[in-house]
Amino acid sequence: MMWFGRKEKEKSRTIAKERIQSTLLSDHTDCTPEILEQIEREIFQIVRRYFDIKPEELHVRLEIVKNQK
Amino acid sequence: MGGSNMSEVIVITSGKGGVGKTTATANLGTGLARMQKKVVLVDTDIGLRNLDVVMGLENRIIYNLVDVVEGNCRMKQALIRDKRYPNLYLLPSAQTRDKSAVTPQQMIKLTDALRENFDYILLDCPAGIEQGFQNAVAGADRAIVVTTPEVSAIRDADRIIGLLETHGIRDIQLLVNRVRMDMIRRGNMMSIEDVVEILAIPLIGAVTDDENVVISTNQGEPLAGNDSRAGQAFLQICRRIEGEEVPISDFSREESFFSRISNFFKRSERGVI
Repeated sequence: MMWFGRKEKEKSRTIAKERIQSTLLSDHTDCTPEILEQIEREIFQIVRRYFDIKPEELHVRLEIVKNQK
Repeated sequence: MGGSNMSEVIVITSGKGGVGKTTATANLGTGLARMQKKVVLVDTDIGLRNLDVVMGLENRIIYNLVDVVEGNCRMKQALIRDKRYPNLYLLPSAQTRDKSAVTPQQMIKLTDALRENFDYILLDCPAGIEQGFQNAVAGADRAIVVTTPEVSAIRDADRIIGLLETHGIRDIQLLVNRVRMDMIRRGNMMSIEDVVEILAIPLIGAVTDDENVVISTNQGEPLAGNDSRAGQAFLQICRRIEGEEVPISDFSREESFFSRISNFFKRSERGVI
């Protein structure tokens, strides 16, 4: 019970943070979230050629260096 | 320009409406005036006049910003002196005109004229990124971006920061408003650190979601400097504007102290502890 409650509560801040970060990435790159997901999938395809991993084991972080706003 | 070259024009902006720009402007102006600075608050939201009511000066308006720009009156005639603070003035906006009544060039001329007589010129910027925003930022040296810890407000703040940079404003600081430490602690609100991390600009301060702000707006008396939490937070921000180093953690520590006690009781009630 307690664990469930905690987890639920932890979620909304984390969800908000993830949502705003992906929204801003999409705003800054002028790229839809779908395309960003596509990039992630393609990167996974490449990485998989060299490492034996599952999709959830790869964390792709795309960072746009300034002045893209 | 002659006069004091120490004067600063600060635009208070946000992109999104309803996050507390006008309240922040009123309170920062009041706080700086309490610190013996000569301050003028300029309501640049032409057509949607609000700062006068938040300041409680709505009954004393004769002339407005557009009258000054159009030469219908002298600057002195349009400035309303706040009787509570001898150094605090308001230049109200026009209610029956629209954004197109003023150009960015006219705003620069207006703020330059105000620099002669004031230490701080605070511009209350309208919501949005259209002409009202363009006018307000034209004459500004520095910007304070107001946001709340919400996805929509942060997104708009991010857009505004980009536009301010495009306008050549380099000194941009963040004010996180309506922070609820109890919700942050429960994981239901992004923390001040989260917001700073996302927007990546320096923090000038955070203000708690305090019902005293509503009460003070009802009364037309800004609360900066009184002993409410928001009143103290605004005063701390004023000291930081002045260049004083006031630790940000003061505010959250005080908050967390009270909240921790109440959380303790809440948790023990639920038997979780």
